[in-house]
Amino acid sequence: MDEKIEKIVIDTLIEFNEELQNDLLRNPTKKTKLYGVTLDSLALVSFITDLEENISEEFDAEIVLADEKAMSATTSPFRDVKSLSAYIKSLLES
Amino acid sequence: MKTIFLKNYIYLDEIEHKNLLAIRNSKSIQDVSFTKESISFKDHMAWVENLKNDKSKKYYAVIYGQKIVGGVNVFDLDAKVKWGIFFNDEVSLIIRSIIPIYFLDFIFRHYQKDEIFAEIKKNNTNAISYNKSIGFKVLSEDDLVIMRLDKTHYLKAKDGIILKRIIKKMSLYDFKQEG
Repeated sequence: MDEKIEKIVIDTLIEFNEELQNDLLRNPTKKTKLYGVTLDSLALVSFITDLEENISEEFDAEIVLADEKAMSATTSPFRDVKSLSAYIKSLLES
Repeated sequence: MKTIFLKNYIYLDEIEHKNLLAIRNSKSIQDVSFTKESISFKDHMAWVENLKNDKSKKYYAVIYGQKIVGGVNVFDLDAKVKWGIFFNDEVSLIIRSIIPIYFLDFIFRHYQKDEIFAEIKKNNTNAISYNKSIGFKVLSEDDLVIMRLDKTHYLKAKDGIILKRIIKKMSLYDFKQEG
């Protein structure tokens, strides 16, 4: 499951970056930094919108990544691909 | 559906004014404000009293989850429309992302202008970066950065990769405005 989630995050990021054209997101890995480094607040919310749809389709489960708590958390789950994938897993398992 | 309420300062009650002022006087807002000093409640209320007779300025508190989370303002002075916005430190990125779009739409619709200006202190890098993301261009840069948003650019940005998705998120919220 971990790898599958990570793959969806990376694939969504690649697809998102086809339009965004950010050099730092050209070859994303699980270590790729997200919020505050490669994505500003607007770009993060936009990316998350796509990711929610892709996760929901793949796992047949409605999840809300961009909820108030997560989006204002001091230790943001949106730091990098790895932390975001772990956060998605925790939502799917809850 | 969650409600976001924009309430004109002139209609706020005393507690709401105190909560609003607490955000305005917080360090993060004070650092990027034109008036560096803390504003007393008495001075704030006197200023709000003047606002009641000033048709050129509108200030709204942003209320979300029954809490004041920030403020937006618009000035219509010398045929130029300027806007400003601030949030408390805790407000979520979603709210930070969607409120400006709602308010800019309101300004363009209400004032029927083709451009909106912003004057931002140079150290307010977040605001400058955000304004650029929604289509503002820098006109001049000194201690004060003057920016301009052309309506055509804004409409184009709204159809672009970033704002298109933000607008989708906006549909999950109900917006109300008073005054």
